[in-house]
Amino acid sequence: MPPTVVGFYLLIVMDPEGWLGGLWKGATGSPILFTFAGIVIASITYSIPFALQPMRAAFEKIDPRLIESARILGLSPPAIFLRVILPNSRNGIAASAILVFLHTLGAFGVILMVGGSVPGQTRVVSVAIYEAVETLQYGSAAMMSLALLPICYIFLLVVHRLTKRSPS
Amino acid sequence: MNLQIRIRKPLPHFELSLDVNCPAEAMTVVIGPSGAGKTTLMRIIAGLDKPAEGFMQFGDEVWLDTKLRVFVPPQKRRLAYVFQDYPLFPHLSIHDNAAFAAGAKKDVVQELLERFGIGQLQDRKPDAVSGGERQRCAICQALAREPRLLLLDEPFSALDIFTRRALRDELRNLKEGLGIPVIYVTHDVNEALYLADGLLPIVEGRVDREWMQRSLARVNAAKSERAKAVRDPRLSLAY
Repeated sequence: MPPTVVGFYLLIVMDPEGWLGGLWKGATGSPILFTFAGIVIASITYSIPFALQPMRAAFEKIDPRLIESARILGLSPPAIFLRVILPNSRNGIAASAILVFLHTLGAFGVILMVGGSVPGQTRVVSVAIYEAVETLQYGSAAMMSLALLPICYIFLLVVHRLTKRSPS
Repeated sequence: MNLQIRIRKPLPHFELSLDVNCPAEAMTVVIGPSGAGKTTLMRIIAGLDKPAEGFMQFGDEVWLDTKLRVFVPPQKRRLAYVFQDYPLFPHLSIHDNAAFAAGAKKDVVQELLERFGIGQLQDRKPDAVSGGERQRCAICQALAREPRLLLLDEPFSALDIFTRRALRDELRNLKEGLGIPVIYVTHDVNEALYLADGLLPIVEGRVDREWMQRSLARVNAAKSERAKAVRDPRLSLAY
């Protein structure tokens, strides 16, 4: 789905007249649109599908016989999840967390729709770079872009490591 | 406590249909050719599979009654089940695997690990020990939970002959002190005769005593062959 479409619907829902915006206003007394909390909620909504996919792959990689023996050894289903499934999919969960982090780092359309670009509040790097280019400040755009490159590269490297070394 | 089993389950090539009783404090050896339904029987006893219809009672506890829709899930049966290539928990050390279901009884676990000769390996992960050591750990894990019934499905078949013999001896010694029914699956007649208090030959899903007698005759015939082989050096290479 195009990020702007997600952003548009979030904008509607998070509007003080919308159900989430209304709820938030009722609870905190201030609107949620164009705040940091607002873009966090928007990013979570936007990124959850990307977290579920690798986590599901990690869960599916677990030997089903392990779950059977845990049942025979007397574990209840929640205990099996905590003591067998979670510890054996740690790498997958970590990889999924990093992928979502990178995905969120690159979020642009959603943030712009829901957060606007309030300096010190909701102006994220991706939006800041865009605005710098718009106002022909190529120097600061280059600096910000250059700073992001190694960060992304290192995290991708970690993801690669985590997913390659599968526990046997 | 004894285990009564009366089950029927259609399988792809035949129907598993059994009415048997495994006596308390005895080792019942289930023997039969591969694909006879032995493992299916064990999985039904463990509660991992359900028969089409049947009744199963352990002591005075009904585990399964398809007519009354009674089904006790595996985690409530308090039994232990070890099979060939049993998967240990890869994220836990040998000690923690053995102690997985032992509760607070730390010294029991230690004693079992020593008894099965893997005490010095207890801090290693399962992928850093040999197949025989993993299988020893699996037995420790099973016994440490103090089961009321022990199911062993060809537990030593994937091991080399020496390890297999050593573990078989250890199991035979252990059996007396356990005081619980043990059901042991094998397709090896010699192993069955060595371990069993009672034999349960299963062929194509049914108890078949005649098959057992034929197999025994074959084993006896092979024994005299082996005696001859000692005198005949060329044939002895085969043994």
